[in-house]
Amino acid sequence: MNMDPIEYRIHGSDLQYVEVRLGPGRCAVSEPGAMMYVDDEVQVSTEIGDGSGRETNFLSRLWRGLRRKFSGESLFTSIYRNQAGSDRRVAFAAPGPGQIVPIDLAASGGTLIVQRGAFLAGARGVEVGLAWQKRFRVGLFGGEGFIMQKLTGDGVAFVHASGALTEMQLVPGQSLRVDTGCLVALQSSVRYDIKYAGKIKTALFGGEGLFFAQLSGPGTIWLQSMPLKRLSRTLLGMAMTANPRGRIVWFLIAIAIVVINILSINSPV
Amino acid sequence: MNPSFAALLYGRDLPPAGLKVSAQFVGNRLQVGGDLRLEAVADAITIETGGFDHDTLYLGWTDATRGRLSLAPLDTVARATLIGSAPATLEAALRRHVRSSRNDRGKWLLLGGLAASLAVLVLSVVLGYGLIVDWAVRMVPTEVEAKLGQSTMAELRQSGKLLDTGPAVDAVSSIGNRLTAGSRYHYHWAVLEDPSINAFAAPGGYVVVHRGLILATKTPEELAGVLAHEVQHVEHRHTLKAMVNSLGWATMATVLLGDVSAMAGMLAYQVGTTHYSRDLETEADTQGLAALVRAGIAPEGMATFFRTLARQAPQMPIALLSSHPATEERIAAIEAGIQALPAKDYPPLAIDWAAVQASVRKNDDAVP
Repeated sequence: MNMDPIEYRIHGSDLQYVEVRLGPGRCAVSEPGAMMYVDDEVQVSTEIGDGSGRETNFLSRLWRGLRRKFSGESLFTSIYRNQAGSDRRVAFAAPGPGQIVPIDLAASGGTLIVQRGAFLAGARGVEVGLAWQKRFRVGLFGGEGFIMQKLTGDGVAFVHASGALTEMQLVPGQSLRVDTGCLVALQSSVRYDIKYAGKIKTALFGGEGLFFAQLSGPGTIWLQSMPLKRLSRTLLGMAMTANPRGRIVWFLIAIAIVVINILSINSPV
Repeated sequence: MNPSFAALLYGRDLPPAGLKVSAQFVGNRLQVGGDLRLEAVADAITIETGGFDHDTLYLGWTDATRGRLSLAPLDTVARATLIGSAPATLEAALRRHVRSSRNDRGKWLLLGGLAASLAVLVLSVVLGYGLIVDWAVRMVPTEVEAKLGQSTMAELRQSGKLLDTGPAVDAVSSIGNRLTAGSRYHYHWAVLEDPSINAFAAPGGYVVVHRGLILATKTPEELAGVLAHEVQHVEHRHTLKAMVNSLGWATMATVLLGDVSAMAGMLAYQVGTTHYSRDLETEADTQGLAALVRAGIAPEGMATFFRTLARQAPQMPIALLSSHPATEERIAAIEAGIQALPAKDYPPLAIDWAAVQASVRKNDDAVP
């Protein structure tokens, strides 16, 4: 595979962007809309499919593009090619608060499975495909749904997720219970299963839902501290209670419920 | 000497993506080659199923110096070699692993099969709608049809305009009974004191002719043409088919269950104005011609009458035409049908048509 080795630097702490340095003739690929700035003499083009250049047939490129679409990415890929005689820069910004992690696919065995829509950019040759969750219960309750992204190749891929990101290596026989939705990426050697929270009290009041994601080694996993779902739930809750008018609405609803109950008790049968 | 197989070895001090090694079973021991020179007794090895797809085979054991280790075959060839050369002590566990990874595929095949058969079912309902209507109509017993017809007639009788006896009814029944000889239905013929030109058939063999139709036809053969057409609606259960289409399946189900009363009123209102599809009308025309020939009645009456109606249509609204449009192509089709019949001399119907018409006209004077 023709991988383009690239140099990069990640800037920022919570709202990050990654600056990639392209050697002469080198290419980088990204999601359309992720670009933040780009030097002169870097040609920007958009292709259907993943821009890996392997598919010359339009229909098979379209098919690849559709698979990308289902995995939460765009049908198109933006390609940045350095046409100058010296190094040029291109930067990609994260779409939300969180962190960008560079993952070397070669060190991950050539394949990595990531959360839907987590792929931000990468060296040319990184392919974005579809990883279909074959286990019903994991697809239903695992927090990541039935479709994840499969990144293949042996270059660097930049993966973005909200909150703080942490990398963890699981040795053979070691397993970790993770709140559903906190899983960002895992090597394909890791077993991904779900586990019932155990006690009904924990399930109802533990705030973690009925199931944990259970990840068993060997392999490396990446976790996020703040899944977007949780963030939006928190923000929505704040919006409802912090707004005094919102509180009045809840009060009125409560009164209405009480009145309806009283009326229905007194009404003749 | 057992064949060796390529594998990935995972462990605490090894690369996270695994170390590529060559391994083989020697007797009751697993030997891992390369620089590591590891060995494990088969009894100490556990078989685990792992990986994202839960289909990767892992041989796990604890090494004295390296701690817990896992070995996974590199590809399907290596996996087959491993399973084929494993000592007997591991056989049962390996078989369990193969079965569990196969189970998963079965579940998705089952789900796919269910989805596919549902799609086929929906598609066949959409494409075979006509066949399903035919089947549903065929399932309605004749007694239910008779009940439907009776209740329709009862509604009409309440209007006080229905004639069950008299020269007109006799004439209609004598023609009708000739047309329906040998039918499985028991026909009832009636004349309605209504000046509009119309005739209709309720399910179960109840045929009603408006007085206006008798006055408009010049010969008994013309009336026979209209009757032959209406009779086919009964014989081929066209009313029921039209009901299925216009009233829906829920009503049809109640009829199938025998609850006739619910819809009898609706039918009484509807039956005179029921619109049959063009296919059903064409079927009634061709089958009606055949019935006329079988009964030995000159079939030309059907064509001439519709021709006359078509000429009059622009000046006066004719009820019969609203449900039986006398289009040029329809009349042409009827005439072509008559042409195709073998030429034959039919004896004219022995009915004093002027007297019959006079009898209904007389009623006209009696009933204001």
